[in-house]
Amino acid sequence: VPQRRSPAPWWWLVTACALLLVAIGVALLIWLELSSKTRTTSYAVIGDLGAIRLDVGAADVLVSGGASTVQVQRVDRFAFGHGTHEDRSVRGGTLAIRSRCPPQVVRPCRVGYRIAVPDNVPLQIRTTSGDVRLDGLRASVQVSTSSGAIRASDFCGFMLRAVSDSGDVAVAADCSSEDLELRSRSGDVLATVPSGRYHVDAESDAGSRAVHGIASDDDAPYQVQALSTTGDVEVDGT
Amino acid sequence: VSAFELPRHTRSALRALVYMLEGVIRGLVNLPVVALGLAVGFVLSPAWDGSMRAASRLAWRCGGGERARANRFLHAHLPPLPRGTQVSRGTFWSVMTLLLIQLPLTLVALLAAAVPAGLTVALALLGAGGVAGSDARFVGPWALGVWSGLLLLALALPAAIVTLAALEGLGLGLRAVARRLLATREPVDGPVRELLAERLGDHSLTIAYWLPERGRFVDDHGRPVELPEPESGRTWTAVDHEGARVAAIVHDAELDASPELVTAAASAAVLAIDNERLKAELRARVEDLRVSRVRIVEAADEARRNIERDLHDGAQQQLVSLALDLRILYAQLGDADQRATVGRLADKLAEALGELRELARGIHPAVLSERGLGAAVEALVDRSPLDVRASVELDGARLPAAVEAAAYFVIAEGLTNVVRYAETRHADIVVCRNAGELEVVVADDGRGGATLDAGTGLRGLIDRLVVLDGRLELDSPLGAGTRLRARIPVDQGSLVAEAAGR
Repeated sequence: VPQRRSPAPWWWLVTACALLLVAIGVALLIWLELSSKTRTTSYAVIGDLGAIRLDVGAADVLVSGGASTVQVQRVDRFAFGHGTHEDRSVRGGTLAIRSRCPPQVVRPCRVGYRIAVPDNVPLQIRTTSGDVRLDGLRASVQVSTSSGAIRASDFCGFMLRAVSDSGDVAVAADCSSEDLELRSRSGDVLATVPSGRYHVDAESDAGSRAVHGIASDDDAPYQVQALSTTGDVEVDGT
Repeated sequence: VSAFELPRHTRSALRALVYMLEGVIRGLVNLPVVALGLAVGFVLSPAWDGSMRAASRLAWRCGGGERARANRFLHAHLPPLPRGTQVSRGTFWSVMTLLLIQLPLTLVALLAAAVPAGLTVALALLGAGGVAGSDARFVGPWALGVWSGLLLLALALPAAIVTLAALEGLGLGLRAVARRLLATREPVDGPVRELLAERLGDHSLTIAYWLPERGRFVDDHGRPVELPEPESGRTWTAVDHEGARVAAIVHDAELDASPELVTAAASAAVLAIDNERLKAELRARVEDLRVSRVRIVEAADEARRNIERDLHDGAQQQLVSLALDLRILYAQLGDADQRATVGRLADKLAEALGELRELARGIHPAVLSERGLGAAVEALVDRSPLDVRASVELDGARLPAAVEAAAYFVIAEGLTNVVRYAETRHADIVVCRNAGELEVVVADDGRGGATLDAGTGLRGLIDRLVVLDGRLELDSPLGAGTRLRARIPVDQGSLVAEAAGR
């Protein structure tokens, strides 16, 4: 018959350790909640701009066209008093915004940009994990992300080059662009363009490939390139 | 610090980890083998009877592997699974349940263990990075540096302790599951041997009881046993009670249980074992009595043999030489009257000599001790007035004297009874060895109707046979002949062999 013994010292030690860790975790969580802040910063950039360049790390970006001046709104969510670092400069007619969250183990800050831009100002956007949404732009745009998704709607610019490593790329163009380059390594690529004749280059190594509603012609003035390594590729004419 | 028994807990945590990691691989094999195998076996069963049985056997073997693993890594002390033929439906499906839930259960357990383990690694890496200055991130409100790094490293220690405890706890949980699903029978009560065998997971376990007066170990039946030699694959653990040797538990040397566990189980059952020991001692005394009875019979036979020899060598020889003298005297005499007188004397002497021979044979026939049962039966047949067919199949081998004597007297008494009561002229004698016993049959085709109670002749035979663990059977339906059959155990382990051995 096994003897009933009081728990061994070991289990007291384990309980103490577990309680200590839980207490620290709970304290950190409470501190996190208490120090969580959302800060919205808005500013306008006055004057003619030749180009806009964004390098915003993990921040999500929404760019909408048709504005008269460049309007920037930044929504910053952070805790423990460690907010975003933003550098902005206008040099040689180029607006450059660079922002990064300070490296944080417990909960990194989240940043969202809403930018309204006038037509015909070329854009260059780079994020790491942030998603990029383009809405109603009439300008040449280059977007590259690591794991963020890229979505464009009502696009009517001269050129759009959207490259994502692991995010999906989906572009709906209002008018036929001279050059539509959409690429993703592991995400899906979807291009929706006005029907017509295009120089189509749609390929996927491991995914499916579908081209509907447009005529493929190597001599066509407009080019659609939709490439993915492992994702699905689809080009639709409307 | 030693009170925490850190090495022990580390060992059992590591064992649990190995059990879980191996369980994933095993589960990847077991799950398809059991699920697919049983399904295929079921589908094929209309076409081929054996399919379900073969699938079940394969799955059952997987269950046996799991039992061994649970014993090895979790110290579950599960007894071996019973052979496939003796398994009840409930037991079978309970083992199958373990095999089916093994993979998901193990994955969940590993996931649960991964939480504290991941925390430990994260704290250690962050702390090391902070101390080394290679990591400048913020941890909550603080920037990583030497001091915060040291603090995180210090916190990695309790996290590691919690990880060990989590692994050990998960091991205990998995052990409970294995015990619940793989334990085949749990007799709550029963003979102490079965209880110990069950508890220690060794069905070949035996208990040897110590008899201090005789200075030897005996088994349940009171027969002497030898404890196993080292290197024989068996080993024994002493059971002591209040400083005195009580018994030895003889078990598999490769037992999954540790020696401490055997000792613990034995001391838990020590009173029951001591009780059994007293019974074994009693049985040993009874055994001794039985053996000494055999020896008494043997001694009596020996005495009869001596009397027979004395008669043969003494009185019989003198009478024979007297008869020879009378014959010489008869030849020398010329007077007819005297010759007639001497002739009558010689006839009377021959008659007395014959009676003396018959008496000596009844005491103990010399031919039996000198030339064995086969020759003695031949002599009986030759002297018998009946037409006897005898078949003695002993290949000339001699049996213990007491057995030969018993068999001889059964045949002699049987033939006498045939002559006296059966009213026939035919009899059959069969002597052979059969399943470790000497079998003696005397049969006739006479009127039958004999009983064992009639007369003292058969009664005396029964007493003689009982001493040798033998039996006497009489089959004698009216008008259908009589068949007298005696059986005496003679092989290794029989009372006779034991008496001869001592």
